[in-house]
Amino acid sequence: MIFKRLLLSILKYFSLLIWTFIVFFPLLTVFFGSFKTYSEFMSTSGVTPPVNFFNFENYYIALTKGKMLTGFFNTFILILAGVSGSIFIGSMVAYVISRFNFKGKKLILFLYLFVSIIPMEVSQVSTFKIITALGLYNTRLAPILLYLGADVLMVYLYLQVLEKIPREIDKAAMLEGASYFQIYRKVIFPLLKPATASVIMLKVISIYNDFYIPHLYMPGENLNTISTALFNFMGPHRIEWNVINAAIILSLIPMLIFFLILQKQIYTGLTAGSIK
Amino acid sequence: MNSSLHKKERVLIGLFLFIPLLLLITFGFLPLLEIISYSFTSWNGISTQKPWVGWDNYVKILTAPKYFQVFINNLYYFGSGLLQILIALYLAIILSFKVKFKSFFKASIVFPTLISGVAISMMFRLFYTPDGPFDTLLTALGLEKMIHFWLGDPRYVNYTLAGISLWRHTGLRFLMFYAAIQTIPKEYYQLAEIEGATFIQKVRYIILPNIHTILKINFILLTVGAVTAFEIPMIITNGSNGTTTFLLQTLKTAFEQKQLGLAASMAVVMIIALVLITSLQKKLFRSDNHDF
Repeated sequence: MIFKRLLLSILKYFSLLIWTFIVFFPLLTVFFGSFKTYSEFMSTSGVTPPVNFFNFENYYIALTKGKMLTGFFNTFILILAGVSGSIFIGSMVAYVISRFNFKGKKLILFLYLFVSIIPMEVSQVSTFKIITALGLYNTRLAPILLYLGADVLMVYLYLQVLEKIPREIDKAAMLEGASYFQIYRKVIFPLLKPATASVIMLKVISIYNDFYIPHLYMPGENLNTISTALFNFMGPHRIEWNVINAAIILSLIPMLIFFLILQKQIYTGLTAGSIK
Repeated sequence: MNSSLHKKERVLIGLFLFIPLLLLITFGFLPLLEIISYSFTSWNGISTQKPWVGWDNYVKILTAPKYFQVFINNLYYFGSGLLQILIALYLAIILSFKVKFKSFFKASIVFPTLISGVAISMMFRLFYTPDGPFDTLLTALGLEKMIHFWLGDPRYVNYTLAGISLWRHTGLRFLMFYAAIQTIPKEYYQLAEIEGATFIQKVRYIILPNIHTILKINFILLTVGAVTAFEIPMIITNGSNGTTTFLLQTLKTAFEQKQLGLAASMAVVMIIALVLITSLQKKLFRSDNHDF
């Protein structure tokens, strides 16, 4: 019995360690590579630590010549607009849908469901024409509007929480003379905090990591995001892998910090987002 | 029905829905409608003329093997998804029992979910280069004989890419299983303990029956993910060496070959597939409710 327990325990930690190794080994080689000079990178293997851990030249090149700095700025703008817009749109639409009966409500819900089924990339064939026709091509507004109009998960996250908030709360507020807008703003919205937290987590992660939408709509100079800046390193010229490694690590750092600070909320958000 | 609404209500509904609906229709719904109309033309995406060709595009993609064959490549991602479910479930079960450094292990499993597809693809492009870190690892393990041209050899490249997909997506599935296992009341385990249940019995009679909804969701998500896979092959091989997936080919047909009409019909095929998969999901959930 004790022998069996021990064996199970060994198997347990062995499996966990193997997976941890699988996750971190590639990352570690990138981390090592990011401190190597080009010749050092070409002559040593990926698992050899760099000669000098304080060689930040690759990071400097990635930030300036590689436009990662510009990328951070643009990504920040997209996140700020995409996240706050999603919070407004999601909570307002969900409030109206869950609290009022009106013509066309079913149709609106159906539209949201239909659009949420199809991943954004599938419809880009024609979305591209609409964006160009509106004169939005090569502007930051293009991805922002797509994050709000075509990526509509937030409506569902808010609806789920709203359905659990008793209507008596609305009625009590109304008896005290609050207008509908005040009820939404002062009573309902604060109660939606768990959904808001999930929306923030999901949108930050998805916008930060999104590649195809900015790649397609913001190819212009100084409009690159983190992801597209990273992608642009694979140009036709000599691929400087040591600089690319630094760029990869740079792109990871904000997410790592975000993760370390808000781990619990991220777990909840990711789980809520994956189960519509 | 509208007349029974107070004026104030109507104003609020209008105010709250106007902008969201405008965005939804312009950027969410209209593109889907337009795809359908483009799919019956041979439009190149630039010209002002959109010659009507009827069902030609559909006939072409359904009969010419060149277009439909790439769906076979999507199967690699399906297989990878199945493996992800197995690994994620296994790790979630292990971690729902007593384990030291639990939050560290949890964080390490979830972390890849937070990394962008571009960063992951670039990292693994380097990782699998000849004499790269992966080959070094194989050599260190005494497995030199297994070394292949991971990203160049058409016989192996799809497995390599599916493996990268495994690295990337297992974390999210793990999190879903883990969260579902956490909702099982502790009393069940205590009771099982008293009854002298073994580890395997606890898994079989307590954990698995209580998370079968999440399992079903994962199978649906896996199918959707396999049908729409494109980012990893796009960035790593740009679809060369026989790695094109259906969506990647659609995007290339539209934006590189400028055959928008044809690409639109491919997108319609994909939309139909996704709608079918989702209605299947709805059906599965309905049958779930009968259980209670």
